[in-house]
Amino acid sequence: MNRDPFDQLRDRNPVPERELPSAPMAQAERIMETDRRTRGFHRPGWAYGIAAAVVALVAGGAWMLWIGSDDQAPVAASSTDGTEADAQLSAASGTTAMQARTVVAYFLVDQEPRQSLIPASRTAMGTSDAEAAVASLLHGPTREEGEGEPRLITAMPPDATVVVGAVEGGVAAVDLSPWFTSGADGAADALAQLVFTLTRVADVTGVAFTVEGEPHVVVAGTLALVPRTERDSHPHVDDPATRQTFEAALSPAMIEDPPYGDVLVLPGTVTGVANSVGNRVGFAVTDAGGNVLWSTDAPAACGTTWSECRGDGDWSTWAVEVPVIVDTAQAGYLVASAYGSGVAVIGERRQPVILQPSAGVTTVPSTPEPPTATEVAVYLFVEDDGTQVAPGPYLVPAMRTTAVLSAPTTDIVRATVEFLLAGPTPGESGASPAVSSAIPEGTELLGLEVDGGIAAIDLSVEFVSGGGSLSMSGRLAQVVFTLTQFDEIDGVRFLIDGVPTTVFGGEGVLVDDPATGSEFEGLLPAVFIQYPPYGGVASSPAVVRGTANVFEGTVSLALADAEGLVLWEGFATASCGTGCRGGFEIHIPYEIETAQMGSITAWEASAQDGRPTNVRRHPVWLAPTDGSAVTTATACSGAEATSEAARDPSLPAEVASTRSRLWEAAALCDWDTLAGAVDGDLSYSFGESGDPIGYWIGLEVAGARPMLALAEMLAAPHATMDAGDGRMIYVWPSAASYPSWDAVPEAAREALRPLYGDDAFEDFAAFGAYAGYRVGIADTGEWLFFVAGD
Amino acid sequence: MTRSRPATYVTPTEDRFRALFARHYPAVYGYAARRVGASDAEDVAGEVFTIAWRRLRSVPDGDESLLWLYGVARRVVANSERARRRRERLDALVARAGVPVVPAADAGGSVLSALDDLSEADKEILCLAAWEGLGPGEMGAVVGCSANAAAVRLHRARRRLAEALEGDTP
Repeated sequence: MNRDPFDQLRDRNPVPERELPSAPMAQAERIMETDRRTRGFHRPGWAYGIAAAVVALVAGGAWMLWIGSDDQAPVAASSTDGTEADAQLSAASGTTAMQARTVVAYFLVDQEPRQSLIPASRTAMGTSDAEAAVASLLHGPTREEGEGEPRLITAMPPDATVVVGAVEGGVAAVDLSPWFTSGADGAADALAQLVFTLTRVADVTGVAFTVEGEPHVVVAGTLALVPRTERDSHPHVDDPATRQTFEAALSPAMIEDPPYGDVLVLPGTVTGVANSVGNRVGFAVTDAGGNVLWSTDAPAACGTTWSECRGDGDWSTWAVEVPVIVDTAQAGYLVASAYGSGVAVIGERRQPVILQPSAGVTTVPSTPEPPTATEVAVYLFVEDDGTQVAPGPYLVPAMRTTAVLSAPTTDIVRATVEFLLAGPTPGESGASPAVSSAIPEGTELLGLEVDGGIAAIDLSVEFVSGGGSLSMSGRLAQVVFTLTQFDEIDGVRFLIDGVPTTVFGGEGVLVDDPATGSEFEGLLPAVFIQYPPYGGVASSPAVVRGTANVFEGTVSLALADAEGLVLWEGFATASCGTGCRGGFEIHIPYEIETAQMGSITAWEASAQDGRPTNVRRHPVWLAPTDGSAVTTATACSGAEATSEAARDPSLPAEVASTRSRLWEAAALCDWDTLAGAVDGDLSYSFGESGDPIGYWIGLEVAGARPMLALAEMLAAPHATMDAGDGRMIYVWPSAASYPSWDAVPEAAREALRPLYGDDAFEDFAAFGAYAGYRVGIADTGEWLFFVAGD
Repeated sequence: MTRSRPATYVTPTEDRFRALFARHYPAVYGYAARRVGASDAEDVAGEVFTIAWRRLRSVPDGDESLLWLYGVARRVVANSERARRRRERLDALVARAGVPVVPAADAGGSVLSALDDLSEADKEILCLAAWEGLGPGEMGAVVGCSANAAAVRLHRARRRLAEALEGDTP
């Protein structure tokens, strides 16, 4: 045991090199073949970065699959160098951005009285819902579903190829591989799955089949797929095929919504179709053990979405309001039964469900209501980072939240302009590339009125002082873009010291009256991320929106976590490209476990060599995927404090009183009490001035946990210092009173443990002294400082 | 709107993939087996090579291709771990058992249990060095940092491993 642990580790290699298997080459062939099939086209390296998306997506409990649209799939088999055709990825008309879509795929389940269709919900990538739904269908049931109770299966053979084309007039065009016409077992079931899956997509009512390009029709009754040219030799064919064609694949009692294993928010509605005598269905909700929580006998209305009522005993639709209320989410089952004559059950559908309490019914939160925050953007400038084709600086929207205001605001537009005039935060101006404002310091807002879509803004004369014509049009653009983000504002009228103004500065910068954003498009970067703003908040799927003027309208995007690991990489297509500015929007799903400051990067791949150019990168606060906390606005980090501020007899009564008051206020994020303890002279941050409470709330929102720091530090041992003016200052933690880190005794270091670990200690050692949070209270009980850093 | 699949494929690309697969499958399998165990290692390796096939053009040539594959494998393992944990949570929910998942106990004081006490980042850097036998520059390429940073991280991780081992030994 005395050997170096690293050498021990080396010897404990669980799979040493000599035990490695040789490469199973058949698997290499399978990978290439499977990939061709599931993606409906056949080339590797199809779109740069897609695989990164796959990596990020496969982990989802609801798995995701990426499939290319036929319109975009480059098919150039004659080329041999493997580099062809990526340029063909430009958008075809009518396609929308590749994004995550919630769709439903129909699988099969073996339940009395026959194997029948069952819906299962999916989140899948695709350029249309139809495409995403079919991709989900081809992928088959998930492992959980395949091993679940009841077990889901699919009739789709592993080597089937299904290519989804356009939807026109409610009919989806689908091209199939020849297996579907081979008379194979399950071909009719597979077609039924396909038709139900596609007709679940909004506005799709039928499916027109081709097999390797040749039009085919479905023979009613036998459900065989035959060439359209042979239709006359069959008594009746369905062209296009509809749900009615495949009615026989349904269970007499089927639950359509919620799909298999999905969430039912209670109280809520369950819907389905049935073929039940007397137009009644039995319905029950059970817990995971099968104990009935609630049941009813519900009426069914004759007729369905695919056919009018054709007489007594026909297919019917039913809906049940489930009044059950649960305290917490739990697993259960939904059971629907169809009746024959009398009360004999002729068919039963039983499927798992997650029963979830609705937000309104859940327990009351124990913490006080946080101030509701509104997030707005202010437009600032970011320096050219060297990747831009045209020289910068460029406009960039930066996130501001009203959560930092200690009093709620009723005039969000005015508050936003005040944020704008305040300029960049220290973090933004210190960022690389730096964020700055062209609006001169000292500019004051004298008046702001919004009427008839026009904002009339009155600014003090400082606004027009200094700067060249670029700076002048820049500051005008900042005001115009910031104000026109609000729906009620289309244009801006400028007043300087009460005088309506359209010509600015000695350079004579002219603006329209009212001024609009289109005048300042030259100040936008080639790839402009409008949302999320710089420093904004995103939750999965992250919505990224902006405008771009790039080659063929193709905007490359990447989402990275705090470490810079790429979580997602792909591209969006702007509505206009190559010389014209178009909008783009994409929804990027991601999965992370803890909230963190990640980044969204958008760029143009150079038309010459594919290198990234015109790169825009926004730091973005990423909310965790699994937690319900979409934003951190409700957080009170002080509640996590583990150390109590124990009574300390060495403290004067005034100091002890202030200390315990502050500790309690920090642990509760009791902003009112803290505000009462704040004196005008409190130092609370380097470089900030104004409203300490708002500053701390802002840090809490941003996840920096200042209240935890305040509570933990006050619970640590203290030291005393001479203020130099006859007062004594009591300082927490004691480590802050030592001139160097080396001089800090072990006990004082250990007292920092709730907040700081070994890594921080190394930083302190490198810095030479304790550089963390510290709190100071004067012997008079006056709160002097709460700052981070030395 | 519909289009059938052409019958011929791009063979040089496929040959490159076959060569990559033949050369590096054992190492990628080993990487996966050391982290997720032999039963899931094939799945992870298969997934890594599926990604490699789709991104073949971004796979670097030569020795760097293995580092690229390790980097992908690292993310695949991380994601499969997350999926596994979620599945366990769901299973617990369905069973309404509420039984916490206890990690398999290792013999106390062994270097492997000490390794388990470390952060994921420390663990990874130690394993890359000890089991895959990578140097600082190579580790940097896998985890996405400079050679220098990788060397520093390894140094710190080794120290923490020693501390954890001492802490474990009764």
